[in-house]
This record gives sequence, structure tokens and C-alpha cells, in this order.
Amino acid sequence: MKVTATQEGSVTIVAIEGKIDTDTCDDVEAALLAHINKGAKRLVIDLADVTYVSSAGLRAVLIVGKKIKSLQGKMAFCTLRPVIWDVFEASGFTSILTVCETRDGALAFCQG
Amino acid sequence: MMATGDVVVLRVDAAAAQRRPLLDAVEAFCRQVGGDDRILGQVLVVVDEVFTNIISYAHDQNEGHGVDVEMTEIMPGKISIRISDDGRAFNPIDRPAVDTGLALEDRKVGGLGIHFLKTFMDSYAYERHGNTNHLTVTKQLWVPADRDKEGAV
Repeated sequence: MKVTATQEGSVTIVAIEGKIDTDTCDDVEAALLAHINKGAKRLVIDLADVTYVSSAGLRAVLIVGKKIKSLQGKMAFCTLRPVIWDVFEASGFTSILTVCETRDGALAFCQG
Repeated sequence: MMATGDVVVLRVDAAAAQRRPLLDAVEAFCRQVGGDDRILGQVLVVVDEVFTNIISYAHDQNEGHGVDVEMTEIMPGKISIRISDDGRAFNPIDRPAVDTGLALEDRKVGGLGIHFLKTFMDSYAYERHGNTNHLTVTKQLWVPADRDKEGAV
């Protein structure tokens, strides 16, 4: 699992690579919270290179989502592979989180 | 090459370190049967969640306990996976449904694994025999008609 961050104006784009499961969820959560603690309140989370998410990974997503909400920030996920979309949708996460098809779409949402 | 009816039997220790090897074995089995990554991913998530539940809750001490996994292609393109453990009786199927409609701030993740089991699998059944829990799931990885169209077997 690898996390890479780039800044685009006021938006922090975090690209995650690999699997988000019981082995990696703590690291993913810590990496995302570290950006928030450094002041990031607008996060695009690019999942194009994420091949797998289990409920352990969703727990991390939920914690980060609640944190951003409490800070009145903005967060959008983008470029989910079909199986990642299935996991988000089955969980109801596609209704409570912003999920965009493209990185540009997610960026536009966070800039708005 | 797998043939319909062949059974792949695995026994792994009830230990977190066995999760990845188990999932790799399930993936290898599914890839032999065929189908796309999306369906494969759904199967892997379900096996992952069931195994993770077992190693988290089935025993006071996991040491000395194992998990048996039996995988079969029961019909062309359709697989059955039976996961058995000798932990405390636990029927995942009669757990209350997760409320996936709650607002973000009210959502919890507990129970989602069982929700995936019910959502992603074509069928699921639980049995308790003696001291053993048996959970059997089935999933159509590919539809024979699709295969014919692609000119494969």
C-alpha cells in the first residue's frame, strides 16, 4: 500500500495504491489523518490504483469522512474500480460520501 | 486445469497471518474457473470478512484452531465455497441487517462483512454440526452463454 499526496490550490489530492484491508487500514487512516492534522480540509482521494477494499478499509474511510465533516471540510473519492464501487455502494457509502468518476470531477467538487 | 466437480480443500490456522495466503488460494481457484475481476473481488471480500470474523470472535484463543475451506466448481462457471471452523456457534445469516441509510455521522462499520456476504453471493447457508460452524456460499463467476459468445469452451 502506498499513499502519495499532491497539492492543487487549496485541495490536497491523495492517491492510494494497493489494497485497503485489515493489514493496511491503520496506515491508510494515519496517512489521511496526518494530512488533515497538517491543515488539509479539502481532500480528493483517488482510488484508481486501489484493487481491493474490505470493511476494515471502510472503517478508515468512515473515520476520515467524519473528521472532515466535523471540520466543515470537503472530501471526494474518485476513479473507483468496479469492485471498489460495489463495496462502496453495498455499504451505502455512495450516498453519504461524494464519489466522482473522474479526478477532475472530484477536484471541482472540493474547490466549490 | 480445473474440471467441474473438482474440490480444492485447504486448512489454515485461525491466525491473521493466514488471511493473505488464504485469499491468494481463493483467487487462484477462481482464476482457474474464470470470470472477471469485479466478481472475483466480491468473492475475495466475502471470504476475507468471514475469515476475519472467525479469527476475531470464534475463539477465546485462536492457537491450535484452524479454518477449513472447501472450494468446488459446482456447475460450469459457478463455484461453491464452504468455510468451516470449530469456534463458538455463530450464524451470520440471522444477524440483524445493517442500516446502510444512516447519515455519515451516525454510520458504523460493524456488520458490513455479513452485509457483503448477503449482497454479493448468489446463495448462502449456515449449518452447525457438533462443534463446527459451516458456512457455504455460491457465486456464478461467469455465465456459460457468455463464454460461448466469446468462442471459448
